[in-house]
Amino acid sequence: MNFLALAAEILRKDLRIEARSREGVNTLLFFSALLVFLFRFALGPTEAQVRQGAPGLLWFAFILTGLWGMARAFQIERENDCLEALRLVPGDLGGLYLGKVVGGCCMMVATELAIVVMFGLFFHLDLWPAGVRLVPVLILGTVGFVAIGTLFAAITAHLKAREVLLPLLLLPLVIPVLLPASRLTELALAGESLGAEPHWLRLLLVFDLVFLVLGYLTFPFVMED
Amino acid sequence: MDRLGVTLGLGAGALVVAGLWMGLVQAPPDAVQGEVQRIMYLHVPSILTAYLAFTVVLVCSIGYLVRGTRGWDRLAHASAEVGVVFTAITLFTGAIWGKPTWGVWWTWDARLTGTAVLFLVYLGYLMLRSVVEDQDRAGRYAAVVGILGFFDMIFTHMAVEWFRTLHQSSSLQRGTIDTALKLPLYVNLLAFVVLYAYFLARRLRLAALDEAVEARDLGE
Amino acid sequence: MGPWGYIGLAYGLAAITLVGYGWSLGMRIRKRRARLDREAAGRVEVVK
Repeated sequence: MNFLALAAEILRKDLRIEARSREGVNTLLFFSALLVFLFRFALGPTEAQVRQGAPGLLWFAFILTGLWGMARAFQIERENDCLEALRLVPGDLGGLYLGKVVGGCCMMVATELAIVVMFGLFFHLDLWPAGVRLVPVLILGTVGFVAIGTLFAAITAHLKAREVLLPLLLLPLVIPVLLPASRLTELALAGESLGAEPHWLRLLLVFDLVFLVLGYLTFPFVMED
Repeated sequence: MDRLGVTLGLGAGALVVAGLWMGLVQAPPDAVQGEVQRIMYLHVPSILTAYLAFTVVLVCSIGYLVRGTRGWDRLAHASAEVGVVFTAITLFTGAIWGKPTWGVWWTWDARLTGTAVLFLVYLGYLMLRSVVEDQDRAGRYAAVVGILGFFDMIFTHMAVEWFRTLHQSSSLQRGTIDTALKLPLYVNLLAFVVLYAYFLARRLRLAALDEAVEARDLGE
Repeated sequence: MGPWGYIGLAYGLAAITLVGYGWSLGMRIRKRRARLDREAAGRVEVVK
C-alpha cells in the first residue's frame, strides 16, 4: 500500500470515528467556550486590553487544545490495541504519519476557527476583513505544531509519564511556530497585510516543510517494535 | 582510568590552567565593560562546545537510526548529557555577566532565550531516555528528539532574534572581538573542547559499564 | 559587588559544576565496577 493510500485510509477512518462519536468535537467546542470566558477574566475589563493581549493568548489557547488533540490521536489507537495492528500494515508507515497529521490539522483548525469566531462574537470584533488573512496563519501555524506533535504523541503514547512528557518535549520545540504565528495573527486582527512582515511567513513555511519531512522520515523508526 | 581518559584529563587540565591565566591575568580588560568582560572566556566557549556536543548528538542519532549499533546510541546519549552541562554553564555565566552589564540578572535577549530553550529541549531528551525502559526503544525515541531538536534550534534562534529586534529599540550589541582578546578566547575554547572530550570518554565508560550490569542482570 | 566579585561567582560556579559533574561520573563508574566485581565473585543475588 503506497503511503498516500495509507494516509487517505487513516484519515478516512479517523474522521469516521469522529463523526460517529462526536467526542472530540464536543469536547473541543466546550473547551473553546471556556477559553473565551478565561480570556475575558485574564485580560481585563477594557476591550482595548483584550485586543492587545489577544494574538498571543489565542495561540496559547490553540496550543493547549492542540496538546489534548495530539495525545488523543494515538490514545484512540491504544484502546483496542489498534496500534499493534497498524504497525503490521505493509508499506510505507510514513503514510500513517501523514494521515494523522492531516487529521490532526483538520481538527485543530476547526477548533481554532471556533475559538476565533466565539472570540469575535463576545468581544465585538469585526472578523470578516481579518478572516481571509487569519486562515492561512492558522493553517501554517497548525501544520508546524501538528507535524511535531503527531510524532511526539506516537513516542509518548506508550509511556506512563505521557501526560507530562508530551508537553515537556513538544512545547520548547514549537516556539519557532508560536512567535511568527502570534505576530502574524496580530497583523491580521489589526487589518494589516501579512506581507508587511514576510519573513515570518517564510519562516513558518520553511519550518512546516522541514518538520513534515523530518516527521515523515523518522516516524517509521518510532513505530518499529 | 584508561589511557585515553587520563590523557584527555591531563590535557584538559593543562589547557584549563592556561586558559584561566590568559583570561584572568594576561588579557586586557575591555574598553567599555571593564573587568567583567572576562566572563566571556567562560560563556562563549561554553555555548560553542554545547553546539558541538549537540551536533555530535545529531550525527549519532542519525547513525543509530540508520545503523542500529549500540555505539552510536551510547555516544549520542553521552554527548547530550555533557552538552546539557555546558548549556547550563552558558546560562548562568550569561546571567552573571548580564547583571553588572545591563543591571538585571535576566533579559529576554535573543541569545540567552535561545540558549534557555536549547537547555529545555535536551533536558527533555535526557528525561525521555530515563523514562523509557527498553534501551533500544529509548535510543530510537531519543534519536528522533535529537534530530528534531537540532534543526529546531536553528529556527528558534532565528525567530527569537527577529522577535527581539522588532520589539526592542535598544541595541544589545556583542560587537566584534578585539585581537588582543582573540588568543585567550581560542585557548579557553580549546580547553572546553578537550574538557568535553574528556567527559565524553568518561560518560562512555559509564554507559559501557551500565550495559554490562544490565546484561548480567538479564543473564541471571 | 565589584567586577571581580561577579567574575569570581561565574568562574566559581562553573568550576563547581564541572568538578561536580566529573565527580558524579566517577562515583557512578565506581559503583558499577564494584557491582560487577561482586557479581563476578558470586556474592550478590540479583533481585529483580
